[in-house]
Amino acid sequence: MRASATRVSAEVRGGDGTACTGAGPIAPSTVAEVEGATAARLEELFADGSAVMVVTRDDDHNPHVTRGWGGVVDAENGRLDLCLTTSDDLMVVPDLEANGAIAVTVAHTATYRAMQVTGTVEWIGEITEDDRARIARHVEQFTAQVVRAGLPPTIARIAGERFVAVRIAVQQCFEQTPGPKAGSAL
Amino acid sequence: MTEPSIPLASIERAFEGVIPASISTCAPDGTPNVSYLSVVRRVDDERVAITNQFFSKTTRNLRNDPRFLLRVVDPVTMEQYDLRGKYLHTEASGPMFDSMRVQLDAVAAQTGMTGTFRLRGIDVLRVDRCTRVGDAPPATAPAASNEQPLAALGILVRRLAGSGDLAEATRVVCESLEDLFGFGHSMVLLADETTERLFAVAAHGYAEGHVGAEIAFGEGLIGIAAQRRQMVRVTALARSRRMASAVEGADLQELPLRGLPDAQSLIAAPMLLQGRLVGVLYLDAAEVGAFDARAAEVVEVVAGHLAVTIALLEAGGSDPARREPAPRPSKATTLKAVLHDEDGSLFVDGDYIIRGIPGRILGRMLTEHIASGRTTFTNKELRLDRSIGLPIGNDNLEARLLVLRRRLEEKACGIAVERVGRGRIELVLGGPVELLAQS
Repeated sequence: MRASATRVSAEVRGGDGTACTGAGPIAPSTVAEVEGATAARLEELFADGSAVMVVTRDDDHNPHVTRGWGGVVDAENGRLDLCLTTSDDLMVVPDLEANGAIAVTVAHTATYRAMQVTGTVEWIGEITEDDRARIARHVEQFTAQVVRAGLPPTIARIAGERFVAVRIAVQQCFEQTPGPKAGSAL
Repeated sequence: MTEPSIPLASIERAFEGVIPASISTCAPDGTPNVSYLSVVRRVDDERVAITNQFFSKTTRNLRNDPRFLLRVVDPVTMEQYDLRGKYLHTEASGPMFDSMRVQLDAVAAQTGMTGTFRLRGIDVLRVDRCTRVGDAPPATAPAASNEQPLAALGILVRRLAGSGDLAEATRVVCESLEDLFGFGHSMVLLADETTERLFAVAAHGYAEGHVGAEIAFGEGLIGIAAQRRQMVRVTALARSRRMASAVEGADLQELPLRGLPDAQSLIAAPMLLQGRLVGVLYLDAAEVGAFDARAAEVVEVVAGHLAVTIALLEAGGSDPARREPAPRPSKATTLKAVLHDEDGSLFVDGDYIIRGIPGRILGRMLTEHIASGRTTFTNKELRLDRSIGLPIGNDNLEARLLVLRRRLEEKACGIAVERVGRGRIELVLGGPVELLAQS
């Protein structure tokens, strides 16, 4: 995964990353390879401009929520790189620095097919130019999907203007499409 | 200094369901969870209710730790709001449950998904704090189309009070909904409680062919509104349809919409009077989110006034001096009418005109005219003719005659029916007529 390798190097150099402490009462990370079909589905959801909701929590288990953009899946190493809007909730980054716990729900705006990824954030960094381009592409595709559903293009406003990049060590993927299987592990 | 909590009533649009909301919770082991929601309803300024159909993880989390974070979006300004608070309890019956269930059941009935979208319960949540998301300057909403709905309602009610008969009352309502509120597509359907069917007596803003259409109680969105005596309001039908089709194993057997074929926003408001279902007032629009909560209130009031007006007209309030001249039909050749006994469907020169009781009424008049040359008929004789099939008691004869009259006007087939005073109607023919009865 090109982007993540760059980012890890950058963090090692101390250039644009802040290592996550991983503190807090969260289950130990059990990073595993993301199964091929699941990874493909997740990639497809991102590629189609899906809506991405991201939730973190503080050490007292209060949830904080923001939106995610420009996801890149590294199936082999069980990692998901994602950019998060930071202006939505100022507590998201402190939460991640404190305990790393994160859940990401990716839902296709036209078909409602959806998945949730839970895991631990390994590091947080400033976004790169590549990240910025991916965010812009994702926002554009998301907006186009939503406009096709009859809403105005001002929906793009919800993306915000400030972002951070995170790397998530994926612990589990869940079905989130409406229906009796919603919530079951993939 | 902490900014004050935003009153929920001031962000009503964010609860319209146009843009999906999300709910975030936390499991006991610290794993956070976020799910999209199909419905968030504002109960009052301290509580909201969410439907509980499939999101079992959220349900489990709320039972263990009642704290939640709801994210809702205003579909006009695109402002986002975060609502924090605690889960209070779950309701599986009662007025609020019924009101939310009817919305889901109506969409399910329309999409052929009845049974799949079974509402198990509604979770009632107490909101402790509501804040605007982000630090961008607040967006301003465009001015609403009608900022003074009470004044406009007053005008509509005055116009309705001046209506002399059913035809005028339904026309006034449909036209006023457009010129006073901008709702350009509407339909009035009256209920036949004996056969548990609705039949359209007025349609405004559509292509022809809607008057006379029949809908069984419980059939589709409109039928569910009639069956449950509850208003059905859909703000984004395509979204509801997509959600239904996403369910695993879903096999949508969608019913055609009765108004605009591509409607996104719909309201079906039952017209109730002392517990009796008089009919349904139906509005639709091709745009998403065309009918907000305020529009629903307006439609509910109009439906109530129309129910009262129709009841007064049924009780003999029509102006007997008022004559409604039908367009004079003209046909040089002999009109060839065919009446099918089985379903009362009537054709003229091969064109389908109408079916059911209005078809049999016209068949009866044509038969009499051919036999005796009569052109004037009375309501009384139609009521006494059992072959027409009018139900005993509340027979909706005036409404059925109105349907017949409007269909004949639409079809311009050379036959018309005119009201010529209280309880009397006249058959107007553009030329000689033949009738063939087929069993």
